[in-house]
Amino acid sequence: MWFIEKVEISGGFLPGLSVNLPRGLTCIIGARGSGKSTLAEAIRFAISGASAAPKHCVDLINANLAGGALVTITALAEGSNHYTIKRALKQQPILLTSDGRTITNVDLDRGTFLPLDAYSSTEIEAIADEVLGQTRRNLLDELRSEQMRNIHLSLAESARGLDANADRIRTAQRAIQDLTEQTEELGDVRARLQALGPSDRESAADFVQLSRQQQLNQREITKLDAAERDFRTLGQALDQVRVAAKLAFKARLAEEQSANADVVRRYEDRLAASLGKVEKNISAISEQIREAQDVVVQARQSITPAHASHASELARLNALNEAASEQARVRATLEQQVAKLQSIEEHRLELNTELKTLLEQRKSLKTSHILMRDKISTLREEVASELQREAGDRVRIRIMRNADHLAYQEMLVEGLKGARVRNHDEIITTLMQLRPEQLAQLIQANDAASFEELTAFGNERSRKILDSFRETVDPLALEVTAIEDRIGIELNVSAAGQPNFKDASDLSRGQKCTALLPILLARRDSPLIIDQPEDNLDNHFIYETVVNAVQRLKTRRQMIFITHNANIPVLAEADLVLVMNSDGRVGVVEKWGTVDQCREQIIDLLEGGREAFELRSKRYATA
Amino acid sequence: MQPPENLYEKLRHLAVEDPREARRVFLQLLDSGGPSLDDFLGRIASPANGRLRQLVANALRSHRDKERLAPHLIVWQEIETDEFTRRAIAGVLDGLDARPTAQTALAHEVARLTTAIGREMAQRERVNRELEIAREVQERLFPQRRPSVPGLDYCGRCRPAREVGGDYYDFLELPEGKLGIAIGDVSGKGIGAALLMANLEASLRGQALVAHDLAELMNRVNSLILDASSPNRYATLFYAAYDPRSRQLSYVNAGHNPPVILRKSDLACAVFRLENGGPVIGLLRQRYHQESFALEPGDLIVLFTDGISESMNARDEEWGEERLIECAKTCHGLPAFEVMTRIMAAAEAFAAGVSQHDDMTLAVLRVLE
Repeated sequence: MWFIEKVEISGGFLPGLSVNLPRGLTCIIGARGSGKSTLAEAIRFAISGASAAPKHCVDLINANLAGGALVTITALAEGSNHYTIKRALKQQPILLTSDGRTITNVDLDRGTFLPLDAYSSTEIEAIADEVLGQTRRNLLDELRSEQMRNIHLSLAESARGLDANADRIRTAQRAIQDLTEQTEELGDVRARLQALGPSDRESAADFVQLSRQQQLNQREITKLDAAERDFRTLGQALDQVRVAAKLAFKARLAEEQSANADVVRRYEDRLAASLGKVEKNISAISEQIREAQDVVVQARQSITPAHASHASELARLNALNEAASEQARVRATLEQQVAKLQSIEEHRLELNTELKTLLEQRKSLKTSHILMRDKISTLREEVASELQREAGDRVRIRIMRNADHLAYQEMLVEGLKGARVRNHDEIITTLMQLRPEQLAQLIQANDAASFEELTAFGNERSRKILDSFRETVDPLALEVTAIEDRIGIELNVSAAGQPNFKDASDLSRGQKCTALLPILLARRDSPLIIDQPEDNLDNHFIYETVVNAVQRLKTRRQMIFITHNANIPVLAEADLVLVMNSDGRVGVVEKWGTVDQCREQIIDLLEGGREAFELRSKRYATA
Repeated sequence: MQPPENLYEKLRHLAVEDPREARRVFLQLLDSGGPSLDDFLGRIASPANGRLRQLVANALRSHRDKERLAPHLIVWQEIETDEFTRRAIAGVLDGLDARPTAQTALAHEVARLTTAIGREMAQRERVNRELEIAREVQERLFPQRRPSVPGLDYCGRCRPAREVGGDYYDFLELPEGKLGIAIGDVSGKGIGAALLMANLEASLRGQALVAHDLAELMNRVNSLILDASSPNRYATLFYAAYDPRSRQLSYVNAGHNPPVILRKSDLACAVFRLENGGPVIGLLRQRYHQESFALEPGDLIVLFTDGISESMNARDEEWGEERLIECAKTCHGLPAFEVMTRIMAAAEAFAAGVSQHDDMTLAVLRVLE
């Protein structure tokens, strides 16, 4: 918890401005162009830097702090520590402690040292309008940032695992398809061989066996090649590890300017000292790899003579065949072919087993990946119910899981294009009852029967649709397609009786702010700056949602409101009202004080001022 | 038939891993019906289980299946948060004439009830997770190492209760070779207590290294805790600093069960209690005062929390401080660890297997002869 105690601006549009801010609620009022937004944005700029604000706010700051205007903020944090921030356009900010020491190792712009929540009217509208997309999700996710970051890190890691696994599956599938095509003629060749009748030569068995051996020899060579390649890759990877380890162990941990530099440097030295040991271990592994490579070379050498003798023996038998009858020659060729095809068939079976293992591995990778993603939604639900507790009955926050699904739907529409079926819309509506992983499984297993049971499309249509998807959709990508949650932020717009909740995107400008404010207010304890959009609002909305929440939460966090509605300062009892005015050249704080001290200006400048004061005195009278 | 709990866990995974198989397993459950089906339907009512509700909606084969589960689907539909599930349920219900009759009204009520129970169970699971966190926080707070102090043999242990009470103990390495000894008990249980305990440990560790005067230290810790905690939370805390050169034990006791010192002479065994200091911390702004006790070789100091002295047996009798002292008397001359083990065992033997509501914490110090 921290507070802004004082804001000073030298130069620009608000020269010589200096205000002390109370801990509770400050309301800034004034005519259009009097510098209200400039003041709010100057505070945000000084504390969080230009990168924290959207472009139009930065433009405002660039125009109104030009000419070297310096913004100085005095802040109070952790109960008793005072900090001063000084920042001017295009300059590094300066952060000072109360005794004038500069703090250099803090990056204010990261927003973690003195976190600030600031929303311009356009930003509030943008959150309200963006029904789909990340903005609303961020509003919740930021409140669990640590956990969310951890989940996203694990997700990224598991996505990498899934990608690697998918690559290997595709390679295996391609190879199997290739081999299947090759072995298709096996049946033909066998039939022709049978038709030839019994052999008249005794050497036939030798010949078949040798032809077979020839195939096996070839596969041996392929495997040795693969082993050689694997060890080479391993060696290269290890070289990279060696470089990475060097960087990691010789890392500079010390912050040179810091008072703790010496302490940290001792640990730096300890790390550096263990580098030698690490390098020794890596070298040992390197050595092992080199030895393994030698072993492969030896293996190759020791089978070479055998291979050579097989080859010459086969050549001899071939020569014998040449001399034999026509029939014997054909038989020899066919037998050789069968042997070759059989060995390909065996290879294919091996690959099939490998593919099965890969698919098994994928199952558990996929499951943990998807369940991890579910955890994000569960966390969001927790946050939403916390916010809901604070926000009251007028406003409803809902997590609609998997409702940000346009991209997925488009993918289905695309995949359906090739199918010669009618009523695409109806089909898509039914398909959207299936999760990506369900559909992917059906595509992968080519399971038209289950597909038809789930969709009731009819046998022929199911077949056509599934075939079309099998052509165009990669089930490995489909099953881990991410579909995001939609965050519903709704306002009950009915004055009495049956509630009528409308999403923030369907509301008027002022209602949008009304729907979002309770949520923005309840989010956390850091100071909050709100630039309220101008709008004509029903007072009972403002009263029921905003005023109540402000009044309740202003003891928990500091709030600075630019407002156009008198109810907020008057009924939520602003601790300070700043009345701003401008001659067009510069803006000034014309008057400041309590609600009563600024009564005249509130009535003049704000909508419903008189009524608000009447309501207030009525409440005091009854209280 | 598998026990329902395993079936639920199994289907939760299977619905992601192999949806077709999950559907097959659920259909088996649907056909066998009975209480395991009702149990399962109740369990899957929490928002996080949208995938299983969709599995159920997807799996229904016939009009009869659909009518049978319609009451559940109708209740789910009202609160569904998952888009896929919402569509799947709507798909089923659209094809049904779901006008309520007297019979379906009853079925509806039953479905509503199972849903409510399912949500309640999900809530309880969350509470259990909170307990785990609290326990983890507490375990990390206990001293990870014991600085060695010449002429002193000491050790400490905490046996956490099921619900994680707020016990705390710590040994601190202080400047000039002194040893800081802390034991305390935070009000309440669970995460709230664990967090206050963490706060207490941090405040104490922060202050102990800079403060020379223990009363001043306790004043500061008190005001830090007072500012940081909610008004109805407080803690008892005994803090002492032992100087091995003078064998002087300076201490402040803020409302904690007075630690006991046993001094054996030829004839008898004298008992001293370290009770002065002030009231509990975190409740009021007040000042503490420091006391001092000259230890002698052979002295045995026993620090404990009420979990030890008030451990209960099945007849709701307390073990009591007197029994604790009697037990400690029999341990003269034994190493601190042995003394600790014996006292802990005696307290547990007294409780004889009755589950204790409070953490049991014990620290024993022995001045070597």
